[in-house]
Amino acid sequence: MKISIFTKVTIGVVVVIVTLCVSMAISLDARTKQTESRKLVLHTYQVLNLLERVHSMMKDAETGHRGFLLTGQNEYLEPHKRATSKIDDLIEELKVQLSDNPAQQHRLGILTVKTDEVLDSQQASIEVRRQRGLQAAAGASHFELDKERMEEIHSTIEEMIKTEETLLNERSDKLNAATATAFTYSTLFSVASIICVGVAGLALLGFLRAQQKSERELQVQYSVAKILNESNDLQDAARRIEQLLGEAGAWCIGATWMVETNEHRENVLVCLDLWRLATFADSEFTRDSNQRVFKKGEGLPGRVWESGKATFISDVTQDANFPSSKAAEQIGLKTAFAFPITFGGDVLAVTEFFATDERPVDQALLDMMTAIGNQLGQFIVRKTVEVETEKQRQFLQLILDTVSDGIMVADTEGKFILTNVAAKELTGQTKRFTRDDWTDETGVYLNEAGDKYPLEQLPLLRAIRGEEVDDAEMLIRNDSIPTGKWLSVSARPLREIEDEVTGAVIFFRNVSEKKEAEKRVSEFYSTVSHELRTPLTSIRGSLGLIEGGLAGPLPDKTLKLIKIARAESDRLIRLINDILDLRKIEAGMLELKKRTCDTQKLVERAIEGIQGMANERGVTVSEEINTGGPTECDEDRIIQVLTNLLSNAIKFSEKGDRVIMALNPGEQNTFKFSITDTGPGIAPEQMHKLFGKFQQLDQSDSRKKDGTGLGLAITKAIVDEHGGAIGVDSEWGKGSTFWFELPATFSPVRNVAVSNLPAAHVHPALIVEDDKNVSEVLRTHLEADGFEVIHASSLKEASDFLDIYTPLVILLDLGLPDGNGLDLMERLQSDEKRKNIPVVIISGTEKDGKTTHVHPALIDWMVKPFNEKRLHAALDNARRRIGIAQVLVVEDDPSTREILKQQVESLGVKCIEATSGEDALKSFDESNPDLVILDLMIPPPDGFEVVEKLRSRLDSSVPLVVYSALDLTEAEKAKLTLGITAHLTKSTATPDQLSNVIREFLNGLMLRKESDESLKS
Amino acid sequence: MRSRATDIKKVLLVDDDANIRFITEMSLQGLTDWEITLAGTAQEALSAVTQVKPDLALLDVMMPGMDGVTLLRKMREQVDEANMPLVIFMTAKVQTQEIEAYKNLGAVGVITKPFDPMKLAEQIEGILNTA
Repeated sequence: MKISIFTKVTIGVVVVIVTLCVSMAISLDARTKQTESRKLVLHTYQVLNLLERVHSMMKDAETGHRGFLLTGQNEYLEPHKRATSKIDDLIEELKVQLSDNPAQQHRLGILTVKTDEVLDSQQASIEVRRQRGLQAAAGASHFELDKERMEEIHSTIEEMIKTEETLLNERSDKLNAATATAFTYSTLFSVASIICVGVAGLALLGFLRAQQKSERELQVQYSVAKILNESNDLQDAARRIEQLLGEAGAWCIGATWMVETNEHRENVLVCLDLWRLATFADSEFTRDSNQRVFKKGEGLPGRVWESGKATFISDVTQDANFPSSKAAEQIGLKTAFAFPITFGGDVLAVTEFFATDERPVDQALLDMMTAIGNQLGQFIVRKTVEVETEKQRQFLQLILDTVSDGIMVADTEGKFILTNVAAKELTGQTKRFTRDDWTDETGVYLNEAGDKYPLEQLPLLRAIRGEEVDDAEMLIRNDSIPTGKWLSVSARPLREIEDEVTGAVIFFRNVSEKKEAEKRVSEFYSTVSHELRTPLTSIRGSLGLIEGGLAGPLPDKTLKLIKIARAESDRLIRLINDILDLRKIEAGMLELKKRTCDTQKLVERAIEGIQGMANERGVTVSEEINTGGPTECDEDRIIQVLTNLLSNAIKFSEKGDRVIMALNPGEQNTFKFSITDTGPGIAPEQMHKLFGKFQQLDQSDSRKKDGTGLGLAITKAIVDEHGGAIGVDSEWGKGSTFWFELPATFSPVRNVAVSNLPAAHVHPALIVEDDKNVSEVLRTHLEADGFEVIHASSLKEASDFLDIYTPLVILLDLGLPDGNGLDLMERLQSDEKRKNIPVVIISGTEKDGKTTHVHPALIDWMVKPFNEKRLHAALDNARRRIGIAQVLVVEDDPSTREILKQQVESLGVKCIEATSGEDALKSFDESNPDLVILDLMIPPPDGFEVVEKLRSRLDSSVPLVVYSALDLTEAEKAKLTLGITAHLTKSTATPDQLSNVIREFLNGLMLRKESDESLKS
Repeated sequence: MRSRATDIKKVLLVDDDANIRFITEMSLQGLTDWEITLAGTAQEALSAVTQVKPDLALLDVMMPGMDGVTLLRKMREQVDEANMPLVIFMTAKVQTQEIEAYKNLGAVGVITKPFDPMKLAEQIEGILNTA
């Protein structure tokens, strides 16, 4: 069959048409898919952008909120307000965008709830802050909870971003595949079509080019995101993005201009980075970019800065506002294009590109670059904040490193977050270390012997507990500092939020040299004192023996010479003692052993000691005591002061004269001791010299020869150390009064009739009774029962006695001249130390039932005239209140043990004695004591071990009194604890204190025992 | 308890300084009827304690070799409690807080040097009678 051309043509045309149709259909399908993919990629970018905005908005709101709470300034509220008003819109938008992804929707749900919670909580504390101030707001705010919420928001957003990024990758891959397929098909059919229909082919080619271009654009956006994620610094990011965009868009030069403030405080654009193809390296245009700046509106970058919009110039050589158009022309630049890098509507920088070919305005490119500009803006802000923070940190570090003291800052866990160079040098630590390393690796010790510094006592940890520590000394010794270094450490808590310790700072300096010097000085004086005294012992000894006639009789003249030598060697000894004393005081090494002393006793002891000298010189010393009571002082030192003043007074008195030693209440709650003589007195112009060193007022006065000239200087120093005042009142020719004042423990009272106060260790009975006859009768009865009696005739007097002494029993009348005896009982009851003193009321009135006071130690209430038998029964009762108790006294020193025994037995308590640890444990098992009094340095096992052994037993709740010569640390005290426990130091605890503790401990026990008994019966 | 001065018969005097030993001995011999044994070192003192069994020991504190405090400790270790003498330290290194420390070691008292030889016996008796 012959086929006609028409048919052939028809068939050809049909084939072409069919081919074309098929080709179009396939292309259209590919295109549809591609468009879909593209939409999805754009969608992902939108979601990412929205999430970033939500995140930064919440962060800003949080920072602002904190700022407002602290300062109360409204400007800090802006971010919070912005977040409150905008967040719902953003979430709504996200909801729409994520409507096809259930997993993301779920996360969005969490995000919505958390952001609402945080904003509500912030709103609430803002209200509190406005109405009730900072402290209330800090109390009302839930910082911890909000912090957790913020962390949840952060992690949710991170998760969402990650999911979106994964999706984006998948979609990009799909897009690439789709584009590739489309390209293959399209090309295949297009080639056929072009052969058939050139016009159709050409149209198709144009379409394909557009397709390739949009694919590249998406790839570019994705790459930008990648670069921003990878870059750590702004310049690096700018360079890589310029290169990326430049190469992708076939540009030959790209530059980024940052808005910065110049030296005239104007904002200008300066070049951050310039990228160019190698061929444009050596041109005026690229070379000068570093020197160029643009003001707002000036040149292409300036215009973009001003308008905030991406701008396209097709031919720069023809542009009126292009300052370097000449330079551009030289290298043939034509097209230019710039886009702003923005954040929150502000232009932060401008990026521009140039090409040598002339291009038409490309709106799609402008849109894409605007989106990239936003992305870059967020990056720049983030980096700027990071850089600023790092700069501040470095600045702070720099300042800290210039300080020669060691400084360390730690968080509440004790982990150091900031240390300076000096700290590392002083501690020998170069790595970061935590609090537990202090005692182990850093090697912090209490002393040269290597006792470890108790961890919990470290200044750092004390500061974390809220304490302030000043100048705690410790020894650091470790591999880096093998010889050891003494540090003086201070610490302060840090409170970033009011009322809450958020960390601590310690600062310390090297005090090794000072320590070493102190040690050397101390050793020097110790040696000098020994070296001087040893030969003097022989000299003084020999002279004394000769003078005393032990070496045989002497002619008078020889004896006189010997006496002179002996007297002068005595003076030399005194001088040495005084110099050493004064030296010690001046070096601040006078250690006062303060304890409670009775002022009257001090006076009596001083007079007693000086009596010999007074007799020798025929001078009478008389006392005028107008007050009395306790003062805290070093007894020996105050006696030294009194003796010194008395001996001076005697020295300057004539035979037959009288020296008066008086004790009076002084100014402002003090005791005033004064010594008055009728000697020559002191001329006013000499007065100021009195208390100086080596002051001899009148060189011709032979009596002065006896002294060292240092006595008054030492006297003054001792009084000063006690916090007292010293002075002299004198009139030339009429004698002098030297006086000093010591702070009183209680306010001193004038004219308390004090007679024969008993020794401190005796526990007397106190009779409070205004009727002399009754009190005398009572006294007879009490003395018959073996009590020592003190009598007070008024409440006031009774109170004064009770301030100083603790009686074993009080016999109390109620109707007293200055009040009711029951008031005294009430006072006793509120006094922890004395509330257990047994009281017997002997009154003219019956117990009326109206009395509501319940004194735990009220033994009986008798009406006058009292029944003698009942009185004795009451007194027995008073002693027996604690009578059934047994006290185990563990003490190896026989005399101390004897004293303790007497003291315990004076309370009517049975005493069991033990002389060693072994003995003690045995006695403990046999007699099951109610109280243990324990010395620590006893034959083995020692006191520490005894307590340890008792603690491991079931009955470890027995009351314990540790009575030792050792000064115990808190840690040791904690170890030395059984039931209720008291730690008394032998040298500082008074016998009264000990008795009180025993009484207190046993009374509590007896009360318990009694109630147990009554429950049983 | 053996603490009264009248109970004292034998006294051990330990001092590294021969002059001071001589003077102290002379003083005590002149004023008491005590039997005095002298020791110039801690070692001599230790053997004297076991041999002579003194009632009272006067110990110098600063001595070369073994000091008085260590000597007291050694005496405690080596001598039966029944034969242990009462101990008084005699020291030129006088500081008030040290006196306290010596007493805590178990000494009944401390006499500071230089002392008055005519009053030494009186001083010792005073310490013994109040201890």
